[in-house]
Amino acid sequence: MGDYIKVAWRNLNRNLLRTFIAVLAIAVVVMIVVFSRGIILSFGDRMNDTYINNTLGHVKIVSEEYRQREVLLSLDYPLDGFQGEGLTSMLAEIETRDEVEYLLPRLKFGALYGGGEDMVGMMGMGIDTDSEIRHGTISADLTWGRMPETGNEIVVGSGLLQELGVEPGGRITIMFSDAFQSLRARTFEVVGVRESGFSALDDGIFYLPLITAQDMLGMEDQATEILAFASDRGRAGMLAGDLRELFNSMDDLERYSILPWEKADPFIELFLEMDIIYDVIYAAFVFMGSIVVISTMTMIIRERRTEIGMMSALGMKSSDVMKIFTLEGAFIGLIGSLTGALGGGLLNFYLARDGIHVQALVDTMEGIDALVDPVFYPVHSLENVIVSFSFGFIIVTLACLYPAWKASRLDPVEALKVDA
Amino acid sequence: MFLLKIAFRNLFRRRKRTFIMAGVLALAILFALVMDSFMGGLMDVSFSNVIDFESAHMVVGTREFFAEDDRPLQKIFRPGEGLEDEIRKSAGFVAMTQVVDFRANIIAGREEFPVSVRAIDPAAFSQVFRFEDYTVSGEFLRDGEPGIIIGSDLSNVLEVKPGDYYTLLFRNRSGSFNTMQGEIRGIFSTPNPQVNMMSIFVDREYAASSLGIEKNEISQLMVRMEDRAGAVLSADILNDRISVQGLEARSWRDASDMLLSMEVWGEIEIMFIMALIMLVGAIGIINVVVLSALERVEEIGMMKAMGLKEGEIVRVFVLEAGGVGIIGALAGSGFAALIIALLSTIGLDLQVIYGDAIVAMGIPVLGRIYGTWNLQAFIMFSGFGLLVSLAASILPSYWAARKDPVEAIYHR
Repeated sequence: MGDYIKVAWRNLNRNLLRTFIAVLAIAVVVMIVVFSRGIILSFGDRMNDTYINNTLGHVKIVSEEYRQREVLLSLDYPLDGFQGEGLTSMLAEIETRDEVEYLLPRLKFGALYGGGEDMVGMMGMGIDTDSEIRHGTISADLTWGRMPETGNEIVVGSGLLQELGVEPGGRITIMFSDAFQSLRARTFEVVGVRESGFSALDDGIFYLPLITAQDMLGMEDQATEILAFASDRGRAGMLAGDLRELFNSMDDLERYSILPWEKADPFIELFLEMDIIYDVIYAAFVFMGSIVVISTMTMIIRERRTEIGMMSALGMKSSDVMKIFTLEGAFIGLIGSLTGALGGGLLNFYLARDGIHVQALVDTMEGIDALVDPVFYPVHSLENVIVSFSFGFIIVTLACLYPAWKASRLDPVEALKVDA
Repeated sequence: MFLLKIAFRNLFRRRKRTFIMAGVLALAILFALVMDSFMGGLMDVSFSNVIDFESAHMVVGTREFFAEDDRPLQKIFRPGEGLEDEIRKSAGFVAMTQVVDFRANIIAGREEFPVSVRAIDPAAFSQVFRFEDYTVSGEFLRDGEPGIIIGSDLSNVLEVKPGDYYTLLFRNRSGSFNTMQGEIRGIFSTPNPQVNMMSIFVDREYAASSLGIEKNEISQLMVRMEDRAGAVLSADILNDRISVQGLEARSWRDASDMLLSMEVWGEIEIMFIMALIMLVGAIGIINVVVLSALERVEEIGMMKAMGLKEGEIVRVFVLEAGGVGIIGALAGSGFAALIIALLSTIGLDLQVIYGDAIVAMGIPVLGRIYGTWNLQAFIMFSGFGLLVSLAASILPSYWAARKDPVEAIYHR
């Protein structure tokens, strides 16, 4: 085997230009794959994280009735504990499960501001301030002030604050319907401003302590949803199973919907499915690059007919001939993929710092109610480089099997005769 | 001519190689053309859905009204006879209707939900918009009669049907809260998902008193025109004439800037992927030229010895690459034409592919998308493919032509 490797390697050097072009083709293709994978991966990563941290959790627990009409922000289908025994005991019970890292209970409700010229509709979100500060993203996004602590303090999204025409630190009276459908109003002090960069979050949500929200809505010890988090988002399915088991043992499974993040939002679901399509596209790309290698190999073999005939005549088995040519193709694949993977990796490494701004996308995203960041930061990950490298190497080697097989089938007598 | 003949014959000496490389080019062109047709179809239906159910072809309102996002009731105006005559005189005018837009919360049962309400003159409204054809249960509004019609998606989440009671909570013109109550008369289900969820219609005469406005005060005049391109033009002309009165005329294009940026984004995406495939194709072309040159070293030497100039040899190779480009362009366009023919007759149901995410993505389309024919795209993408193959072949051709004739023939 060692000899064959030596022969194949030396053969590569026989026509450097030809080798160079074949290597270049593979390198460019692998680089394209590394780069676009970098972009897609990061796009997905960032999007998933934003959705997980803000709306989905790793697993989202709501009541089944609530899920069907989530847009309404109804207060009629709250989480009121197992058999109605209250949220606190429910949270305590859930926290004992092994898969659970932490929980973010939230109470969402619709609210109105009518102080200016026109009505401004918005969503209020009662949050457990302590665990949000410890685990959540809301406090990390604060551009001014602090998280709400006592009764009448709120944090407001930056876009919403502008629309309300209130200064940070100012006061504002907000109207809402409580759980008994009576219209009420309450004055709050803006103690913090949140700017996440996503208009879907910044333009319509304000945050207040869960206790205050429960109190003013007449929903003591209740919430509309619980976001449960595992140690890692890959364990979401496990966590969901664990929670279902718990809810089942409490005899209260039917009333609730317990969904891992991959299944909780149609947009995310679509995106995850597209991943598979992208992989097919990458494979097609690499194969297109291998066509260059295949045609190069075919030509090499034609050139060396006599040589092959000679080798066969000297007693080399056809499987050995095939080995030599496959190895030669594999070397091209190896060098090309390596160059491409390193080049693409460097490109991603560089762009991961600066990001790629796409203005057209910024405008598009304005109108879409999805949590998508218009700036691309390709992730620079070793895994991506290694996967794309192996991708290129394996496909090229496989592609070379065909010309190599054809070479091995040459009849030594015929092959030698040509030049005679 | 002689060179052309040589190039043409050379093209078929290694058939497999020629066709594989042409195949790569064809693939790029095929991809770009089919995507372009699909995007064209998607945009076409999207614009139809916006024009037929949201913006009409042209709207006229006060400049302050358009400047604010939330359709303020304070920015209403009284259209004089002069204005309506002016609009009627616009080229391509078909019909016109007056509307008052405002924001409200609908309360039905124990639920409350923010919506956009449009107060309309039902008879004239149906000349401009197509809601009457899409009323699925109950009946459409009638002039001067109470009641509202709502979208199918909204009726599903609120769990209401025609005959049920509703309350609309809103602020009237002077800023005080007011409500409007009554029966839901009908439910419409349009191909525009946003409208099905967010829009409510009520008779204008009936609503005027609760809104605190006069019967001749409106927020927008909405106009149906004969065709889209003409509407953009007419809106421009009209806008110049009425801007002195503080009014503004906008075409459907201004009303759907989000769709326009989506269109641009789609084009960038197609170009980007096409460029990547072309890059691979260009390397393929370089490969073809270098390999055929290497194979024909003796031949090149012979040609030179017989007196062909370097430039002529370059031309032979460039022409050969051009041949690959032409075969690729023809094959790509041909297959694309086949697929587009399918796409434009059978269509594609987006909801089958994307499911509910379609609503989340903000595309105003339910139902099938039909591809469009775009001759310009065929010419452009084919030309681009040919250009790339010619350009890619120049350098390796010079490399091939520079070979020393003596050494070239001596080769073995």
